[in-house]
Amino acid sequence: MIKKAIANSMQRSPWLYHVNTGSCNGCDIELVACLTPRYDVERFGFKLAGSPRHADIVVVSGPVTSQSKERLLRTLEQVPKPYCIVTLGSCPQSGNVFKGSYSVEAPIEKFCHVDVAIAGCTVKPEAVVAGLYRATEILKAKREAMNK
Amino acid sequence: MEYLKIIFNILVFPGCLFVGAVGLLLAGLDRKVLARMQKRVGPPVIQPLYDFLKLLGKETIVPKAANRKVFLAAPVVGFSALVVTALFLPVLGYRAFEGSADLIVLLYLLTIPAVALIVGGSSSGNPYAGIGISREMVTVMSYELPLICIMLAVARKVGGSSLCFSLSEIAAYQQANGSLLGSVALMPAAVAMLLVIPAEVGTQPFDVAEAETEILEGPLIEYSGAPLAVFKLNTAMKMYIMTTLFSALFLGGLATGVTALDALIQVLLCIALTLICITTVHAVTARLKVEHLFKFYWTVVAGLSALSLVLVWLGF
Amino acid sequence: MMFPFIKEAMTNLFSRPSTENFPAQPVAAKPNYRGRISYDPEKCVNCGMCVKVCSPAAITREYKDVEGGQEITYHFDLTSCTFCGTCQDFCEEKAIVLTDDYLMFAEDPKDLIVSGTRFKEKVKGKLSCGEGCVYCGLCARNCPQNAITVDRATKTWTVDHEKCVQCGKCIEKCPKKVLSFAEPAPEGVILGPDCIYCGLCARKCPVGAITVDRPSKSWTIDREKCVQCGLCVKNCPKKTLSMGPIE
Repeated sequence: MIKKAIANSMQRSPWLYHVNTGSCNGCDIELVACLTPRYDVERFGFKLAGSPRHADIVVVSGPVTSQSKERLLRTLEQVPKPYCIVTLGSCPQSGNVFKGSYSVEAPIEKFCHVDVAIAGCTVKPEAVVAGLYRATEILKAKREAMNK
Repeated sequence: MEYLKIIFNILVFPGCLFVGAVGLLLAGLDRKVLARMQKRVGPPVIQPLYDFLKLLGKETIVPKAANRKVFLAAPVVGFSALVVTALFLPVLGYRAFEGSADLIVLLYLLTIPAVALIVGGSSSGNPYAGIGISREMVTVMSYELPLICIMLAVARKVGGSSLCFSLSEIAAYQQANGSLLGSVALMPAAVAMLLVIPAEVGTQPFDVAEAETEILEGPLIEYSGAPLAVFKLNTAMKMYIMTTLFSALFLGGLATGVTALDALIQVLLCIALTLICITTVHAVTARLKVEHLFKFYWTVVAGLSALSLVLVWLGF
Repeated sequence: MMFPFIKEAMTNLFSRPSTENFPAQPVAAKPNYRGRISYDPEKCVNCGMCVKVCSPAAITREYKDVEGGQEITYHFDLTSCTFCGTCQDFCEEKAIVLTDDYLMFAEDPKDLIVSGTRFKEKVKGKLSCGEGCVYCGLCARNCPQNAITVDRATKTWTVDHEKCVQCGKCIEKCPKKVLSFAEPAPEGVILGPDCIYCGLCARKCPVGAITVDRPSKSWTIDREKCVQCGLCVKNCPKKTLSMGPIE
């Protein structure tokens, strides 16, 4: 029964950690706009955590530049399981207009499994809220899978 | 029978369960009211409980550079110190442990959670944690002096020339002579105590130690999973303990005799005090830098409590 | 220490929060919002302008030869799209529309690809009879349109091309397998007599195949570049251009 309560809490209290891998900051602005009174994603329990060790959902924005790829992978190793990765915008998925550049290593699927991809350039905050909500459901499923 | 009562006291009331539950409730109300003050909807009131349970479900990672035993023991030491503190504090009429020098024991016990945070942070081996613990040490040094002066002032007022440090006698004095908030000499001490509470709890504007965005959560940066859950619970319990201390020192004399009713009134008092001195201050101020915090506490707050001490010693 | 916002904090505490109630209540995007792409393959003329102007190269076109023609599929990859709307601006037939659907998230990036397929029928040439015909008359008997006439005695075989609907039954039934559709005559843009050399067709051409020179009254088309989209035919003010067989 406690395990069920813990799995339920996993859905109700996801902490976000944001990693910017070379983004233009458009998607970053929309992410922090979600924390403003108008969209208020805190009513679902979301909170921006300061350290990757406190994170449940890692939000990645930006086409993964060569310099930040190693740091991104190191950061992802430090996140305790279970966790989800959510990508914002089209940059992490394909590099958007930076496709084919010598310093851009998108798509991010090459080195980590993305749970929810939110498309847009830039994403609308409501889409971020809906995408993050879907990510919490995946988190709960991961926690329940870990229980077995 | 005695042992059963002691175990009940430690585990349920007013020990782990009661303090933990009321602490989480206070923390939740703080976040909800803060959100409403910022014109947002805010998380549900039991959000800290969800946070606690969620953290229990995450894996605990101990970094290679950390001292494993100290890293894992620090939050437990803080938690146990807070539970013992809660046993000493009266819930209006009901007292679990009493002694003749309660206030002095409380003074020592209240430093232990802060030291546990410092030791836990330094054992993690992270430079950000190093910055955080140095700031935490400055904060502790800043609010300790006013706290001592406040306790001395109250002790002198209640006991006359032989200082009275026992909380039960303070409560009896207040029942006989009206609450200490009413006396002119102790008014500055009450204001100083209201300013010490946010620093003890670690909320804005005095949360340099755990500055989230600046030094990535300071001493707690390497904690994850169950130890982090205990640290967050400690913060929540401190809210209850500090507000109960305030109500015991300054708002005593409201005991009705029925334990359940006493507990209810005590919780309501704690809620009111939390909203006044923790939430409102959080909503309208920005974070102070560590040197400004030091200056603020050593001039304004220490001045207020010293003023109270002087007035009480002169006999007012 | 100043407390400048205490009045606001107190008034906000007792007034309604200004949070919009999403996702309980759906929120509509503002007008002219550039959201999910919708592609109508029926309107598309396969000019390929969208593929050319897309800056992140999110639009791809693939051809697949199927029986009876060709399937032309356009893929709009939303995980690569920058939602600038240039494809919408350049599409003359308005087959590409950026709708106001902003809820684009998926667990599998393949769900975020918008595709549309158009079937282009292969134009068949005229029916002809080759060497080895024995004038059995099976083709004439099986033709549902009675377009074929076979005379065994005079060894003649004729077909009325007006009646023939190119169903292909005669080809199936022929025992000697001598019947077939000839190669279709190539189609292209034909200039009529009323050209005033205004140059609109050259301007509208997505591939730049037409060159018009007003002073010397010349109109030339590069057949290699032409993709037979028909935009010049549509936009000619004198309706003097047409799509038809060329030699």
